[in-house]
Amino acid sequence: MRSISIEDMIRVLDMEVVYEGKSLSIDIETSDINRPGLQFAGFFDYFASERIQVIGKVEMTYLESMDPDIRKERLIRFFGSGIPCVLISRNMEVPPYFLEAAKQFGCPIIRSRKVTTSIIHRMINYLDSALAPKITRHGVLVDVYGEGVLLIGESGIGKSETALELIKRGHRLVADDAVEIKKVAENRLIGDSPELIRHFMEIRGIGIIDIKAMYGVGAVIRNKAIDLVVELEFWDSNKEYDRLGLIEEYTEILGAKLPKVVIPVRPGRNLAIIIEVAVRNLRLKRMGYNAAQELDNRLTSLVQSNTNNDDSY
Amino acid sequence: MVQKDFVFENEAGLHARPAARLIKTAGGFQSDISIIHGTKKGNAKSLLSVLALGIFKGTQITIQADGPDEVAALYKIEKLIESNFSEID
Repeated sequence: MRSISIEDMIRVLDMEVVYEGKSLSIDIETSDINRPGLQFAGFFDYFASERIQVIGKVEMTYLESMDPDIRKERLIRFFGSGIPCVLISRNMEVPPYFLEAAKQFGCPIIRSRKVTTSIIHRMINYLDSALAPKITRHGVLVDVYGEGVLLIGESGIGKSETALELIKRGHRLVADDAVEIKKVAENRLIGDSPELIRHFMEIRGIGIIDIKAMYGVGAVIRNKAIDLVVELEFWDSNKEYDRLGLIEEYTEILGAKLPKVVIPVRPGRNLAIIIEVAVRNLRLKRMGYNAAQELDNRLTSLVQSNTNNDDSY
Repeated sequence: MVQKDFVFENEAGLHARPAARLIKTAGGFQSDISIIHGTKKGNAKSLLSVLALGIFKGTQITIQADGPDEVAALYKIEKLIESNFSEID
């Protein structure tokens, strides 16, 4: 699990530090938050103390209405359970008794001008994105007919050349060589290019080229969800390649399952067209049409009708 | 797998020319060779992937080699970095 420090979040979400606590570089590992109303009321079972605690108007008003002795005891129990930090919304004043309890445990207090639901929403969005698992993969990411296609394979097999041909045919480049992949949801991976080399490509024999300058802004796209992995490999005459396409192959990246096709490379094979076809086929399958299955069905029904005819004689 | 840490000394950082020399050297070996800078990992045989790491003077990097000729590969790259990329092979 990745983690980010509260300091980064404060900067990005434009929050204010009321009390620094022991340190602001506390790491947060979850994008969940907690509103501690029930805890203030004395119910501490299942208290999610690893989350950021958000105090809105309701919680603050409730604290104000409490008996000072009980309030002190609850706040000590609240801060004493090791919470990472407390966020106060609506730019509300932090009451002295609250600050005092926080100081006792060195727990940071931050404040936002936004209303509670709005800041919670932004915070969860930010944390989800910042905490998403990430890796960098060697390959090329191209948008083909609106589907993100990740080309992988050994160095020098012709990934960039294939991508160039695809771009020439009207498809769009996301990243060449290094693809930064982020898992934003259970089965959704977003590919992006490292800032430094965005929309540059390396073509052996020519060198570095700038796709945006050369083919225009319509030939590039900033980032793209990955829908298909295409692995290019040198043609191996001892290996059985898929002839039917009835069995679907998958690969895993960051725990997400993606359809994968292995395409053998041999001189004279136009890989760009094959990749276009692979994407069209993927889209058909997704819409419920499987060509291999359809052919099989036709055969089966033919065999069946022949058997029936045999019976009639 | 073998690996070694380096602190990058080249005045101008790992810009295009030394990077090209590095991938040429790495490309001569069968092993998988990677350069690691912080949380980023780049394929040492691919120019853009190396440039994307953003390696400047004083940057700490790790070179990792994995394969049949890993020791020779790491040695050659070490020599190249030590010679400040002047070694022409």
